[in-house]
Amino acid sequence: MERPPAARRVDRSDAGAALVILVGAALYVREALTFRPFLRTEPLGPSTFPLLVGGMMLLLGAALLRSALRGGTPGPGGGVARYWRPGALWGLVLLYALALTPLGFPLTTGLFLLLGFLVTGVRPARAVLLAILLTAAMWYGFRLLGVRLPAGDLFR
Amino acid sequence: MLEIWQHLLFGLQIALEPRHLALAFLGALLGTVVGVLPGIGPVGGIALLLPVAFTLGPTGAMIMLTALYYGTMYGGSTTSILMNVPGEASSVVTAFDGYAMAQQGRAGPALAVAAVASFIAGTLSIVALTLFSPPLAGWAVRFGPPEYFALMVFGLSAVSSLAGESLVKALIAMGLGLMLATVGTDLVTGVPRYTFNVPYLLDGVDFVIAVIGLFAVSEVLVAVEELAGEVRPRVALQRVWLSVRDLAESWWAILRGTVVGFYIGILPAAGATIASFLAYSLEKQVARDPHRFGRGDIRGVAAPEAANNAAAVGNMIPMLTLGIPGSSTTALMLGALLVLNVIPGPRLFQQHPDVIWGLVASMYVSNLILLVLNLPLVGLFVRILDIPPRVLLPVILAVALVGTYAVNSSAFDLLTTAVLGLLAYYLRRNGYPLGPAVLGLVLGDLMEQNLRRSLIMSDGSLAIFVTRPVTAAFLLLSALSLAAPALVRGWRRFRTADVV
Repeated sequence: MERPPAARRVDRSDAGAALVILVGAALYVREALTFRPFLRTEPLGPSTFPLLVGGMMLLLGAALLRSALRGGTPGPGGGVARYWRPGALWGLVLLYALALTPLGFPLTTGLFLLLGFLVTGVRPARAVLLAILLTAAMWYGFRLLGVRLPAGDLFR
Repeated sequence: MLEIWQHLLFGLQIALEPRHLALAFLGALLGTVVGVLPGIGPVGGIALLLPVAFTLGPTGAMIMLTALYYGTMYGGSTTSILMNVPGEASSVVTAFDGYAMAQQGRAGPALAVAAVASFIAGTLSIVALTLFSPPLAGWAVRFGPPEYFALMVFGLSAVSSLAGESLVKALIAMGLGLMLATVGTDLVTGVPRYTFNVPYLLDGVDFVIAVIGLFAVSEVLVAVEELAGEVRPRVALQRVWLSVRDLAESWWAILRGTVVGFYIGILPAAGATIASFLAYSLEKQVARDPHRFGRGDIRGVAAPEAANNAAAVGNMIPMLTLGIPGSSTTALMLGALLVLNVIPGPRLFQQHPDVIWGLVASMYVSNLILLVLNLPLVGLFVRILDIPPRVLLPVILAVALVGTYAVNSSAFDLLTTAVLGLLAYYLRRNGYPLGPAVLGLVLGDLMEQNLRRSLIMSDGSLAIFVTRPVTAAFLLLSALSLAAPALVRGWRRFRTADVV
């Protein structure tokens, strides 16, 4: 990795991550303090380990913040052009999670594959064909493995 | 000694059962495919197959996963040699001389030596594993909770200190894994932790679901960024065969690579990738004509290929005997065993000899299957590369999602996968290694239990971690491994200052 000479700026991305980690770890520790067992059977309790982990994360968050403020290497550039595809695919994953129960496996998977292919740049006609064929293949393939996939609440 | 052969014979009986043989074959085949495919690595591939593996029972699941792991090692080198595109990190070095050989029209011998070196190294290291594991397990059987806790601390710190560029980021990744592991009902007291009154979270984060999200989903998201559209050129393939001269030339390289790989593999954290680099540089150092390396020397393919397969076997030793995985892949296998209610560690050799010896024996068998599969079929595997990634990636993602759903038939699991996939994508993109995270996730529960048991033993006194020699030694090693990167940097600065 080449390090450009102008890298001595505050690494905003790492600094932001450090703040998220610090806040997250603080909340994690605060929550750990509320764990109270009904019976005290051991010298320390259910909160010991989380407190250790949370404490460690607070220290690490501080260390990351320190190194970020001193300046770091800039992350991968490229902006929107670079991230729209992963972003769009992740959106489809989320939609899949929400739609699987109401719409059922065939419809959700078919749509997921179709839109996924369009995101990655498969030509539309081919995308439709592939989506239909692959959905059918997966439906029967997983049936064969004994996995019951939902047909969809809508169609009951 | 005799006892070991009896165990092995018993193992062979298990491995050669038609069902297990079929699973080894299937695993080897799928592994090779995963190894050849660009967008998905060995860990992602294993993660994808975990839901299927769980329907097979412990022995069957382990046999298939091991064969799969092996297969990825074989497949990864194929694309290195033919396209200069390593399928896995551990076959990066193979590309140096392998691709050069291919350009000179010697792709056939390069592929053949890679397969033969992998086979010899795999077989020899499995013999070593067979001999070393029982004594190691016998020693570790006396470990109490403090020793285990210290050993896990050592495993985690060793992995973190070697993974990635920034120690802080590696430790943060590890901490995230440990935090995820604390979600759910506390086993000792029944107190719900980090469940926020959501019943779904009471059972904790399902390991398989987490791993599919962390590895498979994020791998696809990273790969889709670099979708270029054009198909990479590859060198045409002739007959895959090895002449006697080629074999004579690479013989010592294979043996040296095996020894280096095996020892590196046993160490926690140092896996197949480091082993392949070390074997290559060793080979270059002992060669009388080091200038030939990098220009298509067959030894430059044989040594790293032997080393990465030997390391893959060596890696299994701490996982099986101590219950401490040394790499992401073995962490996944450990997690799989835990889900199947088999607890790896020294007692495994007594409690589940069928799993252990069936597994070891089927490693021999899968090695043979892979050799037979790879030499004649390389051409076929390479065809897979003709499927454009833009078609492949959405399909991999869809399989990951259906696999997630299949584990518990729960749509909540899909949300977990989505969230963890996004998290892992961020981590990958910003230089956080995922190995420590998955290790933390797998070891978190065991670590906590052993910590609490230790403190019950000592009535809450932390002195127990210092007064027991083995425990203290492991903790000292952990501190050393965490300090090592800083020490090395200081030493280098000192040396350069000396020279100037």
